[in-house]
Amino acid sequence: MKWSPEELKPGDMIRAKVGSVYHYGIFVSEDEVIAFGYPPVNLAAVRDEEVRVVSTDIDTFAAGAFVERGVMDGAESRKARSSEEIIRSARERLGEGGYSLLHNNCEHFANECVFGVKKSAQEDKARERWNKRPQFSVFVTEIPEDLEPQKVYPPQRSREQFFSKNTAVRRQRYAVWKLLETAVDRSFGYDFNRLNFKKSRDGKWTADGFEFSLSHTDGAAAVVVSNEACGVDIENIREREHYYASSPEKLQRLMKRIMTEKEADGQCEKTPSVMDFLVLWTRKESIFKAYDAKRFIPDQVETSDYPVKTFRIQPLPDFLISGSGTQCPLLSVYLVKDGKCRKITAEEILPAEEAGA
Amino acid sequence: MAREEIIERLKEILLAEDDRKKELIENCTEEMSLTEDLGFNSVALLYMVIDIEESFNIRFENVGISDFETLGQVVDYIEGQLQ
Repeated sequence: MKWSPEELKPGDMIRAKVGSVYHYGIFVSEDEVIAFGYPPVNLAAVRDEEVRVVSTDIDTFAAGAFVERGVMDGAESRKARSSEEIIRSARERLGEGGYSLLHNNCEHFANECVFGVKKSAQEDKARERWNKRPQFSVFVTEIPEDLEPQKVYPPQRSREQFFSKNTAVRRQRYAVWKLLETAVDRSFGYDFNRLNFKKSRDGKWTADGFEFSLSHTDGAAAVVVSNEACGVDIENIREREHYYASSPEKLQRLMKRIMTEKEADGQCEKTPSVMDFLVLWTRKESIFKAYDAKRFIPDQVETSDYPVKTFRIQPLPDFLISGSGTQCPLLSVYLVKDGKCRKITAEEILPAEEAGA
Repeated sequence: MAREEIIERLKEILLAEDDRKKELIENCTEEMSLTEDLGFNSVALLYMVIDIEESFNIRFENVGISDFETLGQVVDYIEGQLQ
Protein backbone atom coordinates (compact mmCIF):
# COMPACT_ATOMS: atom_id res chain seq x y z
CA MET A 1 0.00 0.00 0.00
CA LYS A 2 1.25 3.47 -0.87
CA TRP A 3 0.43 6.53 1.19
CA SER A 4 -0.66 9.84 -0.26
CA PRO A 5 -1.99 13.15 1.17
CA GLU A 6 -5.08 13.06 -1.06
CA GLU A 7 -8.68 13.95 -0.21
CA LEU A 8 -10.11 11.31 2.12
CA LYS A 9 -13.05 9.12 1.13
CA PRO A 10 -15.39 7.07 3.37
CA GLY A 11 -13.91 3.61 4.02
CA ASP A 12 -10.30 4.76 3.51
CA MET A 13 -7.54 3.34 5.63
CA ILE A 14 -5.71 6.42 6.93
CA ARG A 15 -2.60 7.11 8.97
CA ALA A 16 -0.90 9.98 10.80
CA LYS A 17 2.63 10.01 12.17
CA VAL A 18 2.27 10.69 15.86
CA GLY A 19 5.61 10.87 17.61
CA SER A 20 7.82 8.11 16.25
CA VAL A 21 5.09 5.72 15.05
CA TYR A 22 2.13 5.82 12.71
CA HIS A 23 -1.42 5.80 14.04
CA TYR A 24 -3.86 3.98 11.74
CA GLY A 25 -7.64 4.23 11.45
CA ILE A 26 -10.69 3.94 9.22
CA PHE A 27 -12.06 7.21 7.85
CA VAL A 28 -15.86 7.56 7.72
CA SER A 29 -16.20 11.34 7.81
CA GLU A 30 -14.47 14.40 9.32
CA ASP A 31 -16.45 13.69 12.49
CA GLU A 32 -16.04 9.93 12.54
CA VAL A 33 -12.71 8.18 12.41
CA ILE A 34 -12.58 4.70 13.95
CA ALA A 35 -9.24 3.59 15.40
CA PHE A 36 -7.70 1.35 18.03
CA GLY A 37 -7.12 3.94 20.82
CA TYR A 38 -6.34 7.64 20.95
CA PRO A 39 -2.89 8.76 19.80
CA PRO A 40 -0.20 8.31 20.91
CA VAL A 41 -1.46 4.75 21.53
CA ASN A 42 2.03 3.31 22.04
CA LEU A 43 2.56 5.52 25.12
CA ALA A 44 -0.82 4.52 26.55
CA ALA A 45 0.11 0.88 26.02
CA VAL A 46 3.48 1.36 27.70
CA ARG A 47 1.74 3.02 30.66
CA ASP A 48 -0.50 -0.07 30.77
CA GLU A 49 -3.66 1.94 30.19
CA GLU A 50 -6.63 0.14 28.71
CA VAL A 51 -6.81 0.76 24.94
CA ARG A 52 -10.13 0.29 23.11
CA VAL A 53 -11.53 0.77 19.62
CA VAL A 54 -12.92 4.34 19.60
CA SER A 55 -14.71 6.75 17.30
CA THR A 56 -13.21 10.27 17.19
CA ASP A 57 -13.07 13.23 14.86
CA ILE A 58 -10.25 13.66 12.42
CA ASP A 59 -8.40 16.27 14.52
CA THR A 60 -8.26 14.05 17.60
CA PHE A 61 -7.13 11.12 15.41
CA ALA A 62 -4.31 13.11 13.82
CA ALA A 63 -3.20 14.97 17.00
CA GLY A 64 -1.92 17.80 14.84
CA ALA A 65 -0.06 15.51 12.42
CA PHE A 66 -0.44 15.26 8.71
CA VAL A 67 -3.05 12.67 7.54
CA GLU A 68 -2.44 10.34 4.57
CA ARG A 69 -4.77 7.86 2.89
CA GLY A 70 -3.73 4.38 1.84
CA VAL A 71 -3.73 3.90 -1.93
CA MET A 72 -4.06 0.23 -2.84
CA ASP A 73 -2.37 -1.45 -5.77
CA GLY A 74 -4.30 -3.76 -8.10
CA ALA A 75 -3.79 -6.92 -6.04
CA GLU A 76 -4.74 -5.15 -2.82
CA SER A 77 -7.88 -3.64 -4.38
CA ARG A 78 -9.03 -7.10 -5.42
CA LYS A 79 -8.61 -8.39 -1.89
CA ALA A 80 -10.18 -5.36 -0.15
CA ARG A 81 -13.79 -5.22 1.03
CA SER A 82 -16.21 -2.56 -0.23
CA SER A 83 -16.22 0.80 1.63
CA GLU A 84 -19.62 -0.02 3.17
CA GLU A 85 -18.31 -3.32 4.51
CA ILE A 86 -15.14 -1.66 5.82
CA ILE A 87 -17.15 0.96 7.72
CA ARG A 88 -19.57 -1.64 9.06
CA SER A 89 -16.82 -3.92 10.34
CA ALA A 90 -15.03 -0.95 11.98
CA ARG A 91 -18.22 0.22 13.72
CA GLU A 92 -19.01 -3.31 14.91
CA ARG A 93 -15.74 -3.38 16.82
CA LEU A 94 -16.23 -0.13 18.77
CA GLY A 95 -15.36 -0.66 22.44
CA GLU A 96 -13.28 -3.77 21.76
CA GLY A 97 -10.05 -4.13 23.82
CA GLY A 98 -7.11 -6.51 23.72
CA TYR A 99 -4.59 -4.05 22.30
CA SER A 100 -1.01 -5.25 21.96
CA LEU A 101 1.73 -3.00 20.65
CA LEU A 102 3.25 -5.80 18.61
CA HIS A 103 0.54 -8.34 17.89
CA ASN A 104 -2.77 -6.43 17.88
CA ASN A 105 -2.20 -2.76 17.24
CA CYS A 106 -4.03 0.02 15.39
CA GLU A 107 -2.46 -1.10 12.09
CA HIS A 108 -3.70 -4.67 12.57
CA PHE A 109 -7.13 -3.28 13.37
CA ALA A 110 -7.31 -1.11 10.23
CA ASN A 111 -6.03 -3.95 8.04
CA GLU A 112 -8.58 -6.34 9.49
CA CYS A 113 -11.40 -3.87 8.69
CA VAL A 114 -10.18 -3.40 5.11
CA PHE A 115 -8.99 -6.91 4.18
CA GLY A 116 -10.47 -9.12 6.87
CA VAL A 117 -6.92 -10.26 7.76
CA LYS A 118 -4.81 -9.14 10.68
CA LYS A 119 -1.59 -7.75 9.28
CA SER A 120 0.92 -5.17 10.40
CA ALA A 121 3.89 -3.87 8.46
CA GLN A 122 5.30 -2.59 11.76
CA GLU A 123 5.13 -6.10 13.25
CA ASP A 124 6.55 -7.60 10.06
CA LYS A 125 9.48 -5.20 10.30
CA ALA A 126 10.15 -6.14 13.91
CA ARG A 127 9.90 -9.85 12.98
CA GLU A 128 12.24 -9.34 10.04
CA ARG A 129 14.82 -7.68 12.28
CA TRP A 130 14.47 -10.49 14.81
CA ASN A 131 14.97 -13.07 12.08
CA LYS A 132 18.20 -11.39 10.99
CA ARG A 133 19.63 -11.73 14.50
CA PRO A 134 23.03 -13.39 14.74
CA GLN A 135 22.52 -17.10 15.38
CA PHE A 136 24.00 -20.51 14.66
CA SER A 137 21.46 -23.16 15.53
CA VAL A 138 22.13 -26.83 14.88
CA PHE A 139 19.17 -29.24 14.88
CA VAL A 140 19.74 -32.97 15.16
CA THR A 141 17.38 -35.93 14.84
CA GLU A 142 17.56 -39.69 14.77
CA ILE A 143 16.19 -41.37 11.63
CA PRO A 144 13.98 -44.34 12.53
CA GLU A 145 14.35 -47.41 10.30
CA ASP A 146 10.61 -47.47 9.64
CA LEU A 147 10.29 -43.82 8.58
CA GLU A 148 8.08 -43.62 5.48
CA PRO A 149 9.03 -40.74 3.15
CA GLN A 150 6.07 -38.47 2.28
CA LYS A 151 5.72 -35.64 -0.21
CA VAL A 152 7.48 -32.42 0.83
CA TYR A 153 7.50 -28.77 -0.23
CA PRO A 154 8.76 -27.63 -2.74
CA PRO A 155 7.77 -30.16 -5.46
CA GLN A 156 11.29 -30.20 -6.92
CA ARG A 157 12.65 -31.48 -3.60
CA SER A 158 9.88 -34.06 -3.44
CA ARG A 159 10.74 -35.38 -6.91
CA GLU A 160 14.42 -35.47 -6.05
CA GLN A 161 13.65 -37.44 -2.88
CA PHE A 162 11.64 -40.12 -4.66
CA PHE A 163 14.03 -40.25 -7.60
CA SER A 164 16.61 -42.21 -5.62
CA LYS A 165 16.54 -45.98 -6.03
CA ASN A 166 17.95 -46.45 -2.54
CA THR A 167 15.41 -46.66 0.30
CA ALA A 168 17.93 -45.55 2.96
CA VAL A 169 18.82 -42.45 0.91
CA ARG A 170 15.13 -41.61 0.37
CA ARG A 171 14.51 -41.92 4.10
CA GLN A 172 17.52 -39.74 4.97
CA ARG A 173 16.55 -37.06 2.45
CA TYR A 174 13.02 -36.94 3.77
CA ALA A 175 14.15 -36.84 7.42
CA VAL A 176 16.63 -34.00 6.86
CA TRP A 177 14.05 -31.90 5.00
CA LYS A 178 11.46 -32.38 7.75
CA LEU A 179 14.15 -31.39 10.22
CA LEU A 180 14.73 -28.19 8.23
CA GLU A 181 11.00 -27.49 8.49
CA THR A 182 11.21 -27.72 12.30
CA ALA A 183 14.38 -25.59 12.35
CA VAL A 184 12.75 -22.86 10.26
CA ASP A 185 9.65 -22.83 12.43
CA ARG A 186 11.63 -22.74 15.67
CA SER A 187 14.18 -20.15 14.54
CA PHE A 188 12.14 -17.81 12.36
CA GLY A 189 8.43 -18.67 12.60
CA TYR A 190 8.22 -18.65 8.78
CA ASP A 191 5.47 -20.56 6.99
CA PHE A 192 7.64 -23.29 5.38
CA ASN A 193 5.25 -23.82 2.45
CA ARG A 194 5.59 -20.18 1.40
CA LEU A 195 9.38 -20.03 1.40
CA ASN A 196 11.16 -19.42 -1.85
CA PHE A 197 13.57 -22.35 -2.26
CA LYS A 198 16.11 -22.62 -5.05
CA LYS A 199 18.57 -25.30 -6.05
CA SER A 200 21.88 -24.19 -7.51
CA ARG A 201 23.67 -25.97 -10.34
CA ASP A 202 26.08 -27.60 -7.92
CA GLY A 203 23.17 -29.13 -6.02
CA LYS A 204 22.98 -26.77 -3.04
CA TRP A 205 19.53 -25.75 -1.78
CA THR A 206 19.01 -22.15 -0.66
CA ALA A 207 16.07 -20.09 0.60
CA ASP A 208 15.38 -16.35 0.71
CA GLY A 209 15.83 -14.69 4.09
CA PHE A 210 18.21 -17.08 5.89
CA GLU A 211 21.14 -19.45 5.41
CA PHE A 212 21.07 -23.18 6.03
CA SER A 213 22.99 -26.40 5.45
CA LEU A 214 21.92 -30.06 5.58
CA SER A 215 23.69 -33.31 6.37
CA HIS A 216 22.53 -36.88 6.79
CA THR A 217 24.15 -40.18 7.53
CA ASP A 218 23.11 -43.68 8.44
CA GLY A 219 20.72 -43.19 11.40
CA ALA A 220 20.72 -39.41 11.91
CA ALA A 221 20.36 -36.04 10.24
CA ALA A 222 21.56 -32.52 11.10
CA VAL A 223 20.56 -29.04 9.94
CA VAL A 224 22.16 -25.69 10.73
CA VAL A 225 20.37 -22.34 10.28
CA SER A 226 22.12 -18.98 10.58
CA ASN A 227 21.95 -15.36 9.43
CA GLU A 228 25.27 -15.89 7.65
CA ALA A 229 26.87 -18.60 5.49
CA CYS A 230 27.03 -21.92 7.39
CA GLY A 231 27.81 -25.59 6.90
CA VAL A 232 27.16 -28.79 8.85
CA ASP A 233 28.31 -32.39 8.64
CA ILE A 234 27.22 -35.41 10.67
CA GLU A 235 28.88 -38.83 10.65
CA ASN A 236 28.03 -42.13 12.29
CA ILE A 237 31.02 -43.03 14.49
CA ARG A 238 30.04 -46.69 15.07
CA GLU A 239 29.53 -47.31 11.36
CA ARG A 240 32.96 -45.92 10.48
CA GLU A 241 34.55 -47.90 13.31
CA HIS A 242 33.00 -51.01 11.83
CA TYR A 243 34.84 -50.40 8.55
CA TYR A 244 38.15 -48.92 9.66
CA ALA A 245 38.95 -49.95 13.22
CA SER A 246 40.17 -53.37 12.17
CA SER A 247 42.51 -52.01 9.53
CA PRO A 248 44.69 -49.18 10.80
CA GLU A 249 46.45 -48.92 7.43
CA LYS A 250 43.11 -48.03 5.78
CA LEU A 251 42.66 -45.22 8.25
CA GLN A 252 46.22 -44.03 7.81
CA ARG A 253 45.67 -43.79 4.06
CA LEU A 254 42.42 -41.90 4.50
CA MET A 255 44.01 -39.52 6.97
CA LYS A 256 47.01 -38.84 4.73
CA ARG A 257 44.70 -38.19 1.83
CA ILE A 258 42.67 -35.49 3.55
CA MET A 259 45.40 -33.60 5.41
CA THR A 260 46.93 -30.38 4.09
CA GLU A 261 50.73 -30.09 4.23
CA LYS A 262 50.43 -27.94 7.33
CA GLU A 263 48.15 -30.44 9.05
CA ALA A 264 50.46 -33.33 8.11
CA ASP A 265 53.45 -31.43 9.58
CA GLY A 266 51.72 -31.09 12.92
CA GLN A 267 50.77 -34.77 13.01
CA CYS A 268 52.90 -37.03 15.16
CA GLU A 269 53.73 -40.54 14.02
CA LYS A 270 51.02 -42.28 16.03
CA THR A 271 48.32 -44.20 14.20
CA PRO A 272 45.15 -42.13 13.94
CA SER A 273 41.94 -43.34 15.60
CA VAL A 274 38.60 -43.43 13.80
CA MET A 275 37.66 -40.40 15.92
CA ASP A 276 40.80 -38.46 14.87
CA PHE A 277 39.86 -39.05 11.28
CA LEU A 278 36.18 -38.17 11.69
CA VAL A 279 36.94 -34.95 13.59
CA LEU A 280 39.16 -33.73 10.75
CA TRP A 281 36.79 -35.00 8.08
CA THR A 282 33.57 -33.46 9.46
CA ARG A 283 35.40 -30.18 10.02
CA LYS A 284 36.55 -30.11 6.41
CA GLU A 285 33.19 -31.03 5.01
CA SER A 286 31.34 -28.41 7.08
CA ILE A 287 33.87 -25.74 6.06
CA PHE A 288 33.50 -26.72 2.42
CA LYS A 289 29.72 -26.40 2.69
CA ALA A 290 29.90 -23.01 4.39
CA TYR A 291 32.60 -21.40 2.28
CA ASP A 292 32.85 -23.10 -1.11
CA ALA A 293 29.93 -25.01 -2.49
CA LYS A 294 31.56 -25.97 -5.78
CA ARG A 295 34.15 -28.70 -5.27
CA PHE A 296 35.23 -30.58 -2.21
CA ILE A 297 38.94 -31.35 -2.25
CA PRO A 298 39.69 -32.22 1.39
CA ASP A 299 43.47 -31.83 1.30
CA GLN A 300 43.04 -28.23 0.15
CA VAL A 301 40.84 -27.20 3.11
CA GLU A 302 42.99 -25.68 5.88
CA THR A 303 40.82 -26.26 8.95
CA SER A 304 42.74 -23.82 11.19
CA ASP A 305 41.81 -20.94 8.85
CA TYR A 306 38.07 -21.20 9.55
CA PRO A 307 35.69 -20.96 12.51
CA VAL A 308 34.39 -24.49 13.19
CA LYS A 309 32.92 -26.39 16.15
CA THR A 310 32.97 -30.16 16.55
CA PHE A 311 30.90 -31.96 19.14
CA ARG A 312 28.69 -34.87 20.08
CA ILE A 313 25.49 -34.62 22.09
CA GLN A 314 24.78 -36.84 25.05
CA PRO A 315 21.38 -38.14 23.84
CA LEU A 316 22.95 -39.33 20.52
CA PRO A 317 26.53 -40.19 21.47
CA ASP A 318 27.24 -42.28 18.34
CA PHE A 319 27.22 -39.28 16.01
CA LEU A 320 29.90 -36.67 15.47
CA ILE A 321 28.83 -33.23 14.24
CA SER A 322 30.83 -30.28 12.93
CA GLY A 323 29.37 -26.85 12.22
CA SER A 324 31.22 -24.08 10.44
CA GLY A 325 30.44 -20.41 9.72
CA THR A 326 31.25 -16.95 11.07
CA GLN A 327 28.47 -17.20 13.67
CA CYS A 328 29.50 -20.63 14.98
CA PRO A 329 30.73 -19.23 18.32
CA LEU A 330 26.99 -18.62 18.99
CA LEU A 331 26.31 -22.37 18.68
CA SER A 332 23.09 -23.68 20.18
CA VAL A 333 21.93 -27.25 19.63
CA TYR A 334 18.41 -28.69 19.48
CA LEU A 335 17.26 -32.30 19.51
CA VAL A 336 14.11 -33.14 17.58
CA LYS A 337 12.44 -36.31 18.80
CA ASP A 338 8.86 -37.59 18.38
CA GLY A 339 7.85 -34.24 16.86
CA LYS A 340 9.17 -32.28 19.84
CA CYS A 341 12.11 -29.89 19.76
CA ARG A 342 14.27 -29.50 22.85
CA LYS A 343 17.31 -27.31 23.43
CA ILE A 344 20.38 -29.31 24.43
CA THR A 345 21.98 -27.97 27.61
CA ALA A 346 25.65 -26.95 27.72
CA GLU A 347 26.39 -30.02 29.88
CA GLU A 348 24.95 -32.31 27.21
CA ILE A 349 27.29 -30.96 24.51
CA LEU A 350 30.52 -32.94 24.47
CA PRO A 351 33.49 -31.12 22.89
CA ALA A 352 35.54 -32.86 20.18
CA GLU A 353 38.43 -33.62 22.55
CA GLU A 354 36.15 -35.67 24.76
CA ALA A 355 34.28 -37.12 21.83
CA GLY A 356 36.90 -39.79 21.35
CA ALA A 357 36.94 -40.78 25.00
CA MET B 1 41.67 -53.30 -19.97
CA ALA B 2 38.12 -53.84 -21.20
CA ARG B 3 35.32 -51.68 -19.83
CA GLU B 4 33.52 -54.72 -18.36
CA GLU B 5 36.66 -55.69 -16.52
CA ILE B 6 36.96 -52.20 -15.01
CA ILE B 7 33.34 -52.36 -13.87
CA GLU B 8 33.86 -55.76 -12.23
CA ARG B 9 36.91 -54.51 -10.32
CA LEU B 10 35.04 -51.38 -9.35
CA LYS B 11 32.21 -53.49 -7.94
CA GLU B 12 34.70 -55.40 -5.81
CA ILE B 13 36.05 -52.12 -4.44
CA LEU B 14 32.55 -50.86 -3.62
CA LEU B 15 31.68 -54.15 -1.92
CA ALA B 16 34.76 -53.89 0.29
CA GLU B 17 33.58 -50.46 1.38
CA ASP B 18 30.05 -51.49 2.33
CA ASP B 19 29.16 -55.19 2.46
CA ARG B 20 25.52 -54.43 3.38
CA LYS B 21 24.93 -53.19 -0.15
CA LYS B 22 25.86 -56.52 -1.76
CA GLU B 23 22.69 -57.02 -3.78
CA LEU B 24 22.50 -53.41 -4.94
CA ILE B 25 26.16 -53.34 -6.02
CA GLU B 26 26.07 -56.69 -7.81
CA ASN B 27 23.10 -55.57 -9.89
CA CYS B 28 24.15 -51.96 -10.42
CA THR B 29 24.27 -50.29 -13.83
CA GLU B 30 26.54 -47.56 -15.19
CA GLU B 31 23.75 -44.99 -14.99
CA MET B 32 23.30 -45.43 -11.26
CA SER B 33 24.27 -42.54 -9.01
CA LEU B 34 26.93 -43.33 -6.41
CA THR B 35 25.25 -41.24 -3.70
CA GLU B 36 21.57 -41.22 -4.68
CA ASP B 37 21.14 -44.83 -5.74
CA LEU B 38 24.01 -46.75 -4.17
CA GLY B 39 23.84 -44.64 -1.01
CA PHE B 40 27.56 -43.94 -0.57
CA ASN B 41 28.42 -40.92 1.55
CA SER B 42 31.42 -38.69 0.93
CA VAL B 43 33.77 -40.60 3.29
CA ALA B 44 32.98 -43.80 1.44
CA LEU B 45 33.59 -42.07 -1.90
CA LEU B 46 36.97 -40.85 -0.72
CA TYR B 47 37.91 -44.37 0.25
CA MET B 48 36.72 -45.62 -3.11
CA VAL B 49 39.05 -43.10 -4.80
CA ILE B 50 42.05 -44.33 -2.77
CA ASP B 51 41.20 -47.96 -3.50
CA ILE B 52 40.86 -47.29 -7.23
CA GLU B 53 44.23 -45.54 -7.28
CA GLU B 54 45.96 -48.54 -5.75
CA SER B 55 44.03 -51.14 -7.62
CA PHE B 56 44.46 -49.58 -11.08
CA ASN B 57 47.76 -47.87 -10.36
CA ILE B 58 46.47 -44.46 -11.44
CA ARG B 59 46.23 -41.12 -9.65
CA PHE B 60 43.22 -38.87 -9.22
CA GLU B 61 44.80 -35.43 -9.54
CA ASN B 62 42.90 -32.46 -8.18
CA VAL B 63 39.60 -34.31 -8.11
CA GLY B 64 36.68 -33.21 -5.94
CA ILE B 65 34.70 -35.72 -3.87
CA SER B 66 31.49 -34.92 -5.73
CA ASP B 67 33.00 -34.74 -9.23
CA PHE B 68 31.65 -38.16 -10.11
CA GLU B 69 27.90 -38.53 -10.20
CA THR B 70 27.44 -42.00 -11.72
CA LEU B 71 29.34 -45.24 -11.77
CA GLY B 72 29.80 -44.80 -15.53
CA GLN B 73 31.62 -41.50 -15.00
CA VAL B 74 34.14 -43.21 -12.71
CA VAL B 75 34.68 -45.90 -15.34
CA ASP B 76 35.21 -43.18 -17.98
CA TYR B 77 37.84 -41.53 -15.79
CA ILE B 78 39.68 -44.78 -15.14
CA GLU B 79 39.57 -45.66 -18.84
CA GLY B 80 40.99 -42.26 -19.71
CA GLN B 81 43.83 -42.64 -17.21
CA LEU B 82 44.71 -46.15 -18.37
CA GLN B 83 45.16 -45.15 -21.98
